[in-house]
Amino acid sequence: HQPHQCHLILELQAASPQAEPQRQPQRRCRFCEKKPQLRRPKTGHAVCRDCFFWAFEAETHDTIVSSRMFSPGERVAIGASGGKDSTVLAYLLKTLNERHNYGLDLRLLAIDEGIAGYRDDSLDALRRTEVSLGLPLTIFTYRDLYGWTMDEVVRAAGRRSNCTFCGVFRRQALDRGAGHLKADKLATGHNADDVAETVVMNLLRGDAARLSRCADGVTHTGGGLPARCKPLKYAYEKEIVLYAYFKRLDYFATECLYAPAAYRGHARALVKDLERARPAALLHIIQAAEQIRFRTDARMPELDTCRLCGYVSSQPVCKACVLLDGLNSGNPRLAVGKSSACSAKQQQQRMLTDAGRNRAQCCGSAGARRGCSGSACAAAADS
Amino acid sequence: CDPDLTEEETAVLTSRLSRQQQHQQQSSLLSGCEKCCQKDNCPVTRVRSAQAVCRQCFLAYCTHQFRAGFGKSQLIRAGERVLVGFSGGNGACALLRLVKQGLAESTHRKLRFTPVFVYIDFATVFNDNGDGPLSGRRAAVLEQFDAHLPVEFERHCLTAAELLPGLSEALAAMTDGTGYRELLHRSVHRCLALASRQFNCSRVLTGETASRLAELTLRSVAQGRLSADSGAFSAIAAGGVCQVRPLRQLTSAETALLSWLAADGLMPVCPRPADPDSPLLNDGQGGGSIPGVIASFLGGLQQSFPATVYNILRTGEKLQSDSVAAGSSSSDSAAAAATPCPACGLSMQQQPSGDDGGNVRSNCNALRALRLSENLARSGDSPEPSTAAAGLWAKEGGRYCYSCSVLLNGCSKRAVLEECLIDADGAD
Repeated sequence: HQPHQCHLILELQAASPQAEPQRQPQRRCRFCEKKPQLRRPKTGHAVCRDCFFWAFEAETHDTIVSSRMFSPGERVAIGASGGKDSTVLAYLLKTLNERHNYGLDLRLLAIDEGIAGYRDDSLDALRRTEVSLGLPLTIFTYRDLYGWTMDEVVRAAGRRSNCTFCGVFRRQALDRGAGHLKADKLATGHNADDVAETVVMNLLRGDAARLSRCADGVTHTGGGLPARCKPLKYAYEKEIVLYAYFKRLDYFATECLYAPAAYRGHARALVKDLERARPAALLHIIQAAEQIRFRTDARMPELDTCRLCGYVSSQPVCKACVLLDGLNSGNPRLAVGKSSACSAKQQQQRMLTDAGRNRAQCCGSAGARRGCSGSACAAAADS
Repeated sequence: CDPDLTEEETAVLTSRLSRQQQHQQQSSLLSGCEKCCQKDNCPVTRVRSAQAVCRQCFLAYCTHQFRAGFGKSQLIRAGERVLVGFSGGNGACALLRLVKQGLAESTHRKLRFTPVFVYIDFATVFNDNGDGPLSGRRAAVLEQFDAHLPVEFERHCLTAAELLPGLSEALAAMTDGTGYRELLHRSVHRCLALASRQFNCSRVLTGETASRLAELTLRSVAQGRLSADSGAFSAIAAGGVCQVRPLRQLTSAETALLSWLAADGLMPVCPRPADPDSPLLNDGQGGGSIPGVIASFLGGLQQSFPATVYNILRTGEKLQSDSVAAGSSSSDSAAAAATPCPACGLSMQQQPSGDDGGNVRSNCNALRALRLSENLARSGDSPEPSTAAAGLWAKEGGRYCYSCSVLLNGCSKRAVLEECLIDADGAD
């Protein structure tokens, strides 16, 4: 394991049954007669290693079955980065698929953002996972999809709001990749800590629309895109680390080079402190978001499709197209930060006008294809 | 100034600042107040619209925010008796000042309700018999009543130990800091509700600011509930008491500045009504409590992102109320049909219903996942968890909502705590 994650392992090992003087010494595992080897961060139960594996897998299986996440015969693309969450997810889905006969066709799907010293190393770990699990791996790159790598985006746009670019691009890249694989579902390794952080972040930023769907285990985005599933939605990050550690799974664990300035860091700090005060607080936060009810007269954005690329969007032009336009026009900060609603609408209107002009020149009004912005046809003609 | 940016990047960003931001950066004390446009009036702060305002304009801003709430909600009618909870803190001082100003004869379109000021004394709950900080607080509050309230305004000092006889015992029996603070918070509001009934008041005004309401909303989320009640202008609590928060549009910093700028001698009294020596409140050890964590987090984040508090409250405005009493008076049929929790008056939260083919949300939610983890049982080498765990697959027919159940389970003397929380003579 990487040195920076050793502190997490030590903290978890300090939570072993022998290390806590305030608790009663646990002489037996909660589930069997063996000596306990760890204390579960989620429940505080002292368990042996085998029973921890059993409990963790049983809970994930229950999440999948009770939410009717998959159907037999489906092809499931597993969003994999080489990190601990996606590695554990891939291992678990393969194990449970064989054990409980889900009947799923599992594929690994990775996105290479083009961050030197980070993503290339994690993809090496992912390739080893591909071999060890025997699941086919497909990699899409930002360069292929958008013509930019994240290193180039950061050089152009600066280190502020770079997570906005990466998050928007990656989401669309995963959907397009899953569509390319003809997958019925896209499974991601979001854990309970991630979901709780997202709930808190959306609350702090006043994003009611995202708050309404961020805690769903299965999200149907529409527009012909595969539904997204989060089988590890109720699994604690610490338990995922423990599972990967004791199973000796091969994963890469380094924080993204550009992550420290992200707003999510504030929400993460709060969630970690809340978990320390009361471990069940993570699931309480998720429960609060799952049972949220909005007023009938509350205005919410409606999902439609982008008029340029056809991707699902609540605006006439999706955020990815807007961000790309900013990058390509040499004005990358136009679509991030505090721009007025007026200038954002002006930008979208200009993009639609340019696209219409390009389409007329490219395909002609009689043969205009949906989503043609001119450049796609031009590239196809050149090739 | 972001230390991670290069000089070139900083220059690029600075050049792209909007005209408004440039104006803000260049404005100085010599520019004068941006509200009244008087160059002689020195700006003292920036209000929500980022305007730099002078003392007079700031006082007028606070008065407007206070009066606007009453005007929009139309909650309080002329001649109504209204209980005003006064704790001696920042918000309470601001509330007293604004109520007194609003009821003054010389005020244009003066407020027309009859206030009853009440201080809830917690000294005897914490065995403070005269020489402790809470007794000193009580004496200071009574002095403030004499000095700043007109003679015709009613004022009372009630003892929490008399209103809630088992409170001291229940507080001592709480097993963690979160439950302790939650009980303290609820007991204050229970005492105000009982006082409103005693003095025949139809509404209760409290000095909770926007910052405090945002904290309460986050606390409620961390304990499993997200609804409009925590941060709303008015909320109906257990027993049908209508709580009104007229300072909802002002942050704690603004109310503190109001006390300072008003310069009328009415200043907040410290400390807070809690046992300072209680080990359960020592947030520096063992992870602290949820209220303590959220208070320090929100205070820090608000410094960097001033819109945080308002974002939280604005999100809450889009939510439905979980109050059953409020739902029965509105068109919310779901809330009206819900069973109210006898401890908090809010609707009973959804319980896991087991694998009975019901909808996905009832079969798969965080509460169910938590129950499964807590009640897992393994029989031999079977890969399947035992389904015999009592209460897991059958509907949990608990008497209280989940949040109140957690609070009650965190007390070693549950019966005593139930007596403190349950309103036996709830007015309907």
